[in-house]
Amino acid sequence: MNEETKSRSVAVSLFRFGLLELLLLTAVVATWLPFALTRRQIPELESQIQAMRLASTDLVISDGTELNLRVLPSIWNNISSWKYFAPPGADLELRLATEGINSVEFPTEYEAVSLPVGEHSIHLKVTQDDGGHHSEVFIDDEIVLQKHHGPAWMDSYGSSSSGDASMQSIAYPINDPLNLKLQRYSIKHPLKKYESVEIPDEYDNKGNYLWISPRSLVPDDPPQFVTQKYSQDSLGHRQGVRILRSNQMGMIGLIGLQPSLSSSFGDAMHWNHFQLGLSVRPVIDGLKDPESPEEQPRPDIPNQKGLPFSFRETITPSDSFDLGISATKVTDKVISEDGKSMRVFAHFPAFASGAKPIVEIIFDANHPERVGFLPHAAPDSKPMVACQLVTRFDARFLWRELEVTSDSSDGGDSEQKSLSTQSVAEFYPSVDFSALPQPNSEAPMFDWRSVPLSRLPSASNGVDSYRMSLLTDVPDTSKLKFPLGLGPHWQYAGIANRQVWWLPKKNVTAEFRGTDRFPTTTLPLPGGPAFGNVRITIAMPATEPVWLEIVAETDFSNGNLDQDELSQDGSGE
Amino acid sequence: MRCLRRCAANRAEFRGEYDTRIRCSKRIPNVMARLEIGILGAQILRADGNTPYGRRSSKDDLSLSEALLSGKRLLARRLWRITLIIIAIVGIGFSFAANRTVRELRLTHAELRKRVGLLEVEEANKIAITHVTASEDMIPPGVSKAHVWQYRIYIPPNYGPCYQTKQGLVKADSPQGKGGSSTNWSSPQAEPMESLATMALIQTDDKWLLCRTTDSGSSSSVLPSEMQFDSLDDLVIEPIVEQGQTLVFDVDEPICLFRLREKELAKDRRGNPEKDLFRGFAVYLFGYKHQDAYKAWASGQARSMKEALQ
Repeated sequence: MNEETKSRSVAVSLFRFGLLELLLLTAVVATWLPFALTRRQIPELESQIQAMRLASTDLVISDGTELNLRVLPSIWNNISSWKYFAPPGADLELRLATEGINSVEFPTEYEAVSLPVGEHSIHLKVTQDDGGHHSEVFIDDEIVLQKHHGPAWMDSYGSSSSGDASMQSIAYPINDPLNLKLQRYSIKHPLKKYESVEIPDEYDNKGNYLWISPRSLVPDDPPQFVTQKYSQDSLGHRQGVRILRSNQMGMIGLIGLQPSLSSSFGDAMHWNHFQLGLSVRPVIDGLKDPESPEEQPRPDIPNQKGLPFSFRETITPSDSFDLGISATKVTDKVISEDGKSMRVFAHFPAFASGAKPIVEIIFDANHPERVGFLPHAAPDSKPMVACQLVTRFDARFLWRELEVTSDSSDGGDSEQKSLSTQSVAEFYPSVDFSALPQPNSEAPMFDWRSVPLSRLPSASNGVDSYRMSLLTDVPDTSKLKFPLGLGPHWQYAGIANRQVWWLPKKNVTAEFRGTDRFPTTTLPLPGGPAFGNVRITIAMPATEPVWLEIVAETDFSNGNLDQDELSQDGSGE
Repeated sequence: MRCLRRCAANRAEFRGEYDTRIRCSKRIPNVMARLEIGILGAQILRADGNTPYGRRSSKDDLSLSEALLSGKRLLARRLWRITLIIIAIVGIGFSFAANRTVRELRLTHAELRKRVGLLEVEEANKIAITHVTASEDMIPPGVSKAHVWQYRIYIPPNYGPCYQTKQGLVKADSPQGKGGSSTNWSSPQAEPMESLATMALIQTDDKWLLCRTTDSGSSSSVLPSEMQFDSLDDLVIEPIVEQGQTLVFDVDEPICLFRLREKELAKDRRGNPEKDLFRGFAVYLFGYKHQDAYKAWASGQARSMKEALQ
């Protein structure tokens, strides 16, 4: 028997079987076949059961040691219902808040009731009638919590709701709070009928917040500032001005400014666009014109413009630059220990001249509408004589008047002088603004004009400063007729406000430039010329920051929105 | 087990014989190899020279290697049998467990089917609707009284369900009429989905409300105070499907999910009967892509949606 035959024989003999093997094999098939057939039915049965349970009011308790909960089918949109099982010994509370609702923390002021253990149902009924707004919470059939507000509490066309509970029965950790319903009211637009204003999630809002929480868990006060922990694309005051970036063409390299909601209430926020931009331009000795970051060639993409700068926590230069707009690496470390201020650093890559500015951006808890800028030079930067901060897109706000003291020659303290205004047109006496500019005709380049600092009122903002205010003459933007073809992001729809600069009296100069066109377009501004840009030149090295504030003409207290005030302001009277 | 015992006995009985033969062999010099072969060979060689399966032929004077080959075969067959037995035992266990799971699921399924109703989807590109029996605990506190009609609806891919409630004066066979309407819609989705649609007459604060709740949204409106719904006996109620049924519709069909109307024709201000119009309301479902045709039909520009589609 040769080797090949032998090996074949072994192989054959391994698989040769007699009657016993046949019987065993039959037994194997007989036991596994039913299993396979039965098992095939399980997914379909489970799927059908799951679908039927959604339509039922059954609660499936999958873990008797956790909080098992599901949303019940609703028959009326004014009542939301849940069924839960809380294990014995669970020390839970059901909490209801109608004010101070934000996405950052649970509200600190709320009504609470102990959550009974065992299986029960919770119902939240929210109604409005002539008597006002009513929120009632039932456990089973008994009212356990209720909040009532008068009719003037909220004037809203609608609300948005969310919640963490599911229609499926789920076991939730008993030590974590569970958001049952977060309902936020939208507020009526102050100027436009039948339109609402969406309040950003981080702002305090009115609505209904119902959640289950361990009794021992007391919500923290919401922070004054938001960093990447709470906001993916903007940094600054939680309820005030913020800075952001954009990768929109023409906006790369600009520090975006999103005014406080109370400063531009009614204006819609457009994704990837910011309402006001700030261009940081280093001034180098020997260079005729300062370099614009938005005009610099983009280092990472050929034939594109814009220096993609980065927001960082420290002034220490970094070699890496964030290309994505949401790649900000700024955490709560930038907030001071007392929580009263926040400092973020905008690091620019090298300009063509070799200048590498770093702008320290300061937020002060006492001034939610205000943001400070203090330019620095990186250690390896070409020496800068000065640094310019140039505003962009001002024209959309239709600021047309500069606030000045009555006369600088009168002498005395300018704070005591009466204030008057001087229009943009007055700074360009040689230009005839009576003829309306033709749409799509080439926009004339107005020259820069120096701001007569001596005619600005003095103000104290930590240091002796001038206060430069640009005012609008349009109290109600809803009455404006915007030119056809104008992008919605250029159409300002908010309340009247002003641009205010707080300029240290030393080493700072201010200029502006008028325009009669909407930003980046050739479409004419309705109502004549307006401020197109403001240019603040700060001699380097700078020691004191300049502060910029967009503030509503009507005073709002720390960003707390008051509908009555908004209505008055919106009337433009 | 008996087989295993015999194997052990054989091994003990023939180890001595084998060892003798091994010692004579000059072809296997390695002691370790001898021991290894001993373990295998002992299982197949008897003292009289026969294998466990029969007498050894004189012609087939097995060399040691052939004997070892037979031993391998025997071992393999025994391993094969043991493996089959283990597989069968495991299979019994798994079958038992699976049967128990399925039995429990079937019980739950039957109980839910009785209470909720089964939505049987046989054609994936058509709409299927079944009635869900509304239970008492579906009516929350804060509601004095309620009549609830609930449907499970299979939404085929790329349909985009639009729900419209017509309220006021309605026709008995179309969405045409006089009065108000509210519509919710969802954009078409690539995946099929199941939707739960609820129509409810709710009494709260001495008012009767008509509420429609679907995945697409919800609406509620106050019904005329002259209409009372404590008893529905004097009204014509036309749910699309009765309990236990599943109805199937083409995607271009308008579906009247629910119509509730008075039996008598409505009267105008002068007391004359309105032509084909009854006080009540109706809820229609139609596809996102066919909303223009539906609107044409509902506004009376077409006699049917089919006509509007052509």
